[in-house]
Order: sequence, then C-alpha cells, then structure tokens
Amino acid sequence: MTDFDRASLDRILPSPPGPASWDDVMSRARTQSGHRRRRLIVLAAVALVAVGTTSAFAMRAFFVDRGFIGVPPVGATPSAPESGALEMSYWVPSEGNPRRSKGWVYADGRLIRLLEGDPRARRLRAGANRWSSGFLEQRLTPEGVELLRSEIVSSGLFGHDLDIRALQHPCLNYVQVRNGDRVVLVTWHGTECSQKESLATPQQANALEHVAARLAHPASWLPASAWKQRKIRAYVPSRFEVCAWVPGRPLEPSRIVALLPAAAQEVLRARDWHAKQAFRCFDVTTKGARSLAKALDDAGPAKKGGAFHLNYTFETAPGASRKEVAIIFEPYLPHGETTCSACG
Amino acid sequence: MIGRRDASLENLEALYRSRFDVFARVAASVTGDSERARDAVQEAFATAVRKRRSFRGEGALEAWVWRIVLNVARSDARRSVPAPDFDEPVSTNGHPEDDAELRVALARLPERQRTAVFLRYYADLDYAAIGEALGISTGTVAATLNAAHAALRSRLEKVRT
Repeated sequence: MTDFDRASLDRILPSPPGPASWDDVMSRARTQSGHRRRRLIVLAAVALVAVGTTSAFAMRAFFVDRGFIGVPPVGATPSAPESGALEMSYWVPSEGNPRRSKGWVYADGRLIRLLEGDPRARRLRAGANRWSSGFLEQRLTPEGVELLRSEIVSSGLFGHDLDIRALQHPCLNYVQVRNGDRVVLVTWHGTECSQKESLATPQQANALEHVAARLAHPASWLPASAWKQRKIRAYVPSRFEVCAWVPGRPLEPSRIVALLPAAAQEVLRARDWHAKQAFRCFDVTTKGARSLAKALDDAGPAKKGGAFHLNYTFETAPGASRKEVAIIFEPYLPHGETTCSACG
Repeated sequence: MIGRRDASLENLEALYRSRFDVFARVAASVTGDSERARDAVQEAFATAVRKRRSFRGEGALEAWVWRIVLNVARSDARRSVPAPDFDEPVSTNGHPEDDAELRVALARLPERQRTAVFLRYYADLDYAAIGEALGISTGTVAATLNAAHAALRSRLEKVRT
C-alpha cells in the first residue's frame, strides 16, 4: 500500500467501546434460539390465519435505531403498549458523558431514557445529537425490573421521602421508586443552588453517588438475563403535547394564536387547549404532530430549534405587546406525562 | 489469522477472546459507531455459536465468522438513521490530525473496498479469507483492493498537490 500501514489504520479505527464478554455472547445465543422458536410458532400461526382469510395485509415493524428530536420518521412503529405503569423515575448526574440521565422504568419492562450529552465529547451511543440522546427505549425482563428496583431501594435511602443537599451535584436531582406499597421520592439539590435543606450525611452522600452511578449506566452492571431488549432504539411516542409560550404573563390561547402568522393561526385554531404553568398546550397524535410541524415549517419565518426538543419561535408583528411566541413539541411518555426535554 | 478449525464452542471462544478488538474496530468502519459495532460483534458471535454446526470447514473459521459479523454490521448500518452533519469524525486515538487525509480518503471509498482494505491490512486476512468474508471470489478481492489502492492514491495525491 502506498500511504498507510497497519499502524495508521490502527490510529484511524475507533477503539472498542467496552471489554469483550463471552458470557454476553452466550446469553445472546440463548436469546436468539428462543426468538427463533417463537418466530417459527408465530410464522405457523400467521400461515394458518393467511390460509383462512381471503386477504392479508402485511405489516412490518419499523424501529428507529437512533434517538431523534421532534416527530419520528414516517412509518416508525410506536412504542407499545401506548400506556404503562411507572415503577421508577429519576434524574441523576453522572461523571463524563452523559452528564445527566433522566429515566422512566415501567412495570411492563420498558426503560425509557433521555440523556444529556457533553457537547465537547463524542455523540452518545444512539444519541440524536451531541447535546441530547433524544428519548431512547430498551426493555427489561420482569426480573430485570425487580433487580433494578431492589438495587436502588437497597441503598438505604428510600425508607421515606427525603429532600437534602449534596456537595458538587447539579441543582436538582431525584429518584422516585416504589418501595413495597409506597412510592418514595428522594430529592437532592446542589449546595450552590439551595441552602435550605439539610446537608447529606457521609453515608447518604455515598448512597446518592452509588444510586446515581447505577441509574446512569444500567447496562454496565445489569446481567444479560435482565434484558429483554438490550439494543437501544428510539422511543416512538403515540401522542405529543404541543405548547405555546410567550414571555411575560401567560395569555389566553386565542390571544397567543392571534400573534402568529396567518398560516400558523390556521393550524392552531380550534384546538382543545389546557393550561400548564406558564404554557398553553394541546394534545395531538404523532401523525397530527407531524402534519402540524410541516404546517409550521411552511407558515412563515420562524426560528426552528432542535437540539433538545422541536420548537419554533415566531417573531410577532411590529408594535405587538409581546415580541415572540414559542411553539414546543414534547412527546407523551407511557405514564401519560410529558417532561421538559430541555431541562436534562 | 486463525486458520482452519472446526467450529467448536472452544474454538469460537478462543477466536472471540483473541480477536475481539479487531472484529469490533473493523465492524465500526461499517456501522460508523463503535458501540453499535460492539453490539454487532456480540450478535454475530451469538449467531455463530447457534449455527456452528452449519460450518462445513471448507475455509477458515475466522473467515466464516467475519462474514457473519459484516452481515450483522451492514444490516445495522442499513437500519440506522443517518447521523447529523455536525457529528465528529471517528476517534483517532489521540492523533487527530496525523491521518486526517487518509481517514477522509478511506471514508469516501465504497463500503466493499474500504472493508477489503481493513480486512487485508488491519485484520491480516489473506485473499481467500477476504473473499469468504465478503462473499466474493479471490479474483474479485484482488480487483477490489487494486481499485481501492488506485482511488486512495489518486485522492491523497490530489490533496497533497
């Protein structure tokens, strides 16, 4: 070769992301065998149904392997089932990249995460961009859910609700987890942001570090048997919450809409608005969100943002009392709530 | 390269342990992401374990496993959403500028040519094994590597003049 040798290729190729694990290979081989058996059974069932019907429509799941910001690609298969019971939720800091992790663990095994990346570092695995992973989904087995839950509860922090301060932590962090028949919320604040809560004892501080590390990197310690689907996919929601916001005191939806260009007014009228703190919001299906985003793309000059969530900022007409209107799209999670994507 | 062997569990495990880094790094040139490359290698070895009885021993065990690894990695690359334009180039192990021209020239090769280059000059596979791994004849391997050489030479000369 004229210009390179093995050493130059060695420098060009990325380093492996983690150590080899033969145990993981064997576990996957067993899982593949199980899937193959199940596929054969399903294929046989499908063949029987096809024989028994006069027409059949082929449906193929389309999973997205990388997180995204905003509305999903056309045809992406929504996460199923549409709703789920929450076992645990958290927002924890971590060393390195990601810098912070939000997560939701459901009784049906879904683990949905939203990770905040370090923009100076490489993009997160399966991440949407260098700032945010977008919402990612993996699936745990029932035993995996229990293993994760019991690991967190066994830290000793979750006997009762707790609100404390911790050194060198971001302003707000929390873990909410079911402990028996109660849901316990532990919140901790960075000492730079709050002075009113009592400072964590050394034991509590150690436990917080342990819990945060476990939740930030569950794949690093949960065994292969805890995963039903370890591969990371994008979480594809079935519904979105679209919110409008204007700086200053909240306005009635009709007044917000009136500040927008005519084409945007057209698609935002006749919506079933609800108040959410300073925002005015309405719900749409994912298909509806896609149409709405397309309409807003075409509605006139707007600043379109997408590092953390899809948002449009329209400048109002000269002379208007308010200068701009922001329209923000947030996906609904299976427990029926949205989150502030830009917060973490 | 590890030569002809039967596809026993012990041989597969030995191959995995001795060559994991090479498999993962070449797979990353296909997937464009080292985490997904690792996943592809894990899945491919799991498939090799499951299908080991179908290995007929006509070629090298390693070449057979390479074929599975590359198939899984390509399948992963096809399914993924393209990365945004502002994504960083792949890590260069602390030498960000030294090989920039070569990295760009390699990235612009067709996937088969690029993979053939990595298999030959990084994984040290012979032409027969590369042919087995890529599902092409030995003659086509030679032609593919020749084309890769020519394209790389031309691009690097263009950049440097």
